[in-house]
Amino acid sequence: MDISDESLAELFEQYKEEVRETVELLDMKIVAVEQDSTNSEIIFSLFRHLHSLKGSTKMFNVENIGHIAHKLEDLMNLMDQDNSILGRFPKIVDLLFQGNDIFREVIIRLEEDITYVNLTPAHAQFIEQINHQLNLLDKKENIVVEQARVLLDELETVLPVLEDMETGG
Amino acid sequence: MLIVDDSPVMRNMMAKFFSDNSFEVVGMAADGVEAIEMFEQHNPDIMTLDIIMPKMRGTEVLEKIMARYPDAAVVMASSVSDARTVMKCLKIGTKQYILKPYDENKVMAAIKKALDL
Repeated sequence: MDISDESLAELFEQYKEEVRETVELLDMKIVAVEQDSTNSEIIFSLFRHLHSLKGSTKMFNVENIGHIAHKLEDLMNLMDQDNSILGRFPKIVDLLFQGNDIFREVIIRLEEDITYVNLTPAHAQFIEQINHQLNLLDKKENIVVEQARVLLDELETVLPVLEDMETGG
Repeated sequence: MLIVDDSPVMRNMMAKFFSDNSFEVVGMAADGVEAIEMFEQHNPDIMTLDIIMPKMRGTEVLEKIMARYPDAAVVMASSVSDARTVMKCLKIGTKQYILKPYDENKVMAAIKKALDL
C-alpha cells in the first residue's frame, strides 16, 4: 500500500509487537488444546490467531512466518470442521509448538536483521512436515466432495451477481 | 468509513491508507460485536469488514447489518478466499470483496464501486 517510509517503520514495529503477543497467546492455546483436544472454542481461537497472523504478515512480506502460519491455519481449519482430528492425530500439537517456536525465532532475528524474511531450509523442511500431515488428513477426511456439491448448488444463484461485479455494475 | 479488523496493524494500516486518500475514518472496530455497535453509532457511508474475528464472524456481522440496513455499503476485506465464503457474502449483500494482502489500486477501485463513485 502507498504509505510513507516513516509510517511503514512504525507499522512494522506494531506488527512485530502483534506477532510477539500472538506467540504468547498461541503458546497458551496449544497447551489448552493439548489437554482438551475436542474443545471447538480453543480450536477456532487457534485458527483465528493463525489466520490474523498470516494476514498481517502478508502485508510486510515476512515470507517465513507467512508461509508457516498459512499451513498451520490450513491444519486448524480442518480441525475446526472436525474436532475429533486432534484425538486421532496427537502429533499435530508438536507441529503447532514447532511452528510457534519458529515465529518466536523469526521475530528475535528480525530485530537484528530486517532482511530475515525468507524461508530457510529448516523452515521449508518444517512446511513439508505440515504438508505431509495435511495429505494424511485429506485422504482420511474426504470433505472436499461434499463441499463441491454445495458449491455447485450455490453457484447458480450467485453467478448473476458475480457477472455484475465483473462488468463494474 | 468504518474499518473492522481484529489485527491492530491491519486496522492502522487501512486507516492511514484511507485517510491519505481523503476518506474520513469515523471508527475502527476489533471484533464483530464492536463492529455492529460502531456501525449503529456512526452510520458510516461504507464499512470494510474482516471475516475471521473474535466474538462474531464477519459473515454473521454482514447478515445482521444487511437485515437491519439493506442499503448499507459493506465491503468484505479478508484473506479468506474460498469460493463458498465469497459466495455466501455476495448472497447476503456485500458490495465488493477485497483480498489480503491488499493491492492499493484494487482496494480503491472496490471502495469506489461500492460507493458508486
